[in-house]
Amino acid sequence: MKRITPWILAAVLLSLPLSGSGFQLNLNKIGGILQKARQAGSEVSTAQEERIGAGIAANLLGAAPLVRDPALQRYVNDVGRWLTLHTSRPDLPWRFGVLDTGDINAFAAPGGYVFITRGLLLRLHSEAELAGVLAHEIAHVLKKHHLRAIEKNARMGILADVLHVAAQDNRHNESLQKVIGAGTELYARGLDKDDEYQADRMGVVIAARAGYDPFALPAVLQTLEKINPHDSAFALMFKTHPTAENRLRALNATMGERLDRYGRQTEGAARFVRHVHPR
Amino acid sequence: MNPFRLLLPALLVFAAAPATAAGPAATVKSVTLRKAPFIDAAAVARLPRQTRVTVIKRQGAWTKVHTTDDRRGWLRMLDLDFGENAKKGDSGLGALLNVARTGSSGMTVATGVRGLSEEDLTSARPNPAALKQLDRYTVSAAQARRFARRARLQTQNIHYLAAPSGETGNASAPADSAAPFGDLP
Repeated sequence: MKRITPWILAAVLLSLPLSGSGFQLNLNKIGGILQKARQAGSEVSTAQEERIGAGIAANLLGAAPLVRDPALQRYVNDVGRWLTLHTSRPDLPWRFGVLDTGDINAFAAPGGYVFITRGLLLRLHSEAELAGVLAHEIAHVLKKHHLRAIEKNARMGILADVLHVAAQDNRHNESLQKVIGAGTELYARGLDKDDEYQADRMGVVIAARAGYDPFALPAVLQTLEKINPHDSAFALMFKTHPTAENRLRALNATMGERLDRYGRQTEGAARFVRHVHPR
Repeated sequence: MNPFRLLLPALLVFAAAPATAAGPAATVKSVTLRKAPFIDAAAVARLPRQTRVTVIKRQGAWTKVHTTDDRRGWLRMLDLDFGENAKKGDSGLGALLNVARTGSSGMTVATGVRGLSEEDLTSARPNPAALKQLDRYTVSAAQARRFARRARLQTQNIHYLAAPSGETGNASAPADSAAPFGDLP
């Protein structure tokens, strides 16, 4: 999918309600703050990244709650947590959740939050495919794509909010709320398409490191290719990601035959079915 | 032993799980259909770009297909397209449709979409109770290792893949430095 042009973006932002939950706010400002905070050498700490992530995750959970199935949630956490042990940030407090919505999507939030929707989970065929999707989301967290996206979209801003956040100044809880709000908005807009390609590229490797067939993630993309893009359950993902076709093309160019030898690793179809379609 | 105890799980697999990415597909370029899923396996046929095939199954990098003239063999999975081209063949229409779709998906999806829409997200109120619930499902590193042992998952040491040339932005950013799973080749 083509990048949303800036004027469309502006129109979207302008169309957002200005009152209400208090989470709609000026992305430009917050982004500028993040950028300046970084330039000033006060990068948001891991602890603050986790706080921002917790706030964004709470908002996502406000939009769609967790599926009430502890065994299923635990299974997805088992797979996801195992994947994270094969990354550069194995010690984040990683949390994985299945969101109770028919929409087809997956999300990550800073600090180690990863969500997959019931709609996407039910279209998968194996544990390796689940691992591929989770690994893609994990890569977004590893590369801090959401934090970067907020600052990248900035044009101007005041320093205060994120400096407060970066300084862990808890008297300015409002600042944290603003950053969280800006982060939540991102899910309606999407990340940079290069971030998505990078997450795919890292996702296949993380899955292979953890012992899974790395071609399961492209297999998921082929499943998505078959979905009618006008299917409303697919609307948000289609809007916020490059097309499955382009993602597959990019993966083909970068994978070549490099991961072929891992193609016979675990697929885990039977185990996946046992957990996701019990009885 | 009751034979059904062995049969039942197998039946469930077929009943509940749709076959892996089966169905119609088309070749994205001129390709060699091979007898086995290996790069040096014997050639069965040469298929021109946009040959329509029926997918039987996937195995790693390879997909077993059935051609309309009743030949079977293996193709690289990433040489197959399951989208528009698989149904229509490419007349350039696909590219036009892509543009149209992009245009229409930019602004009009916000209302009337079921599930997790843009609007749901931007108007969401925090749900701290669900966040607490999420914490309860957390799995420790030790628990994850136990799961992997039971599941017979084997760790491999593999470098991340480099970005294809021409891609800009984040892709060329320095890789994670932390060992053991951080670096580029």
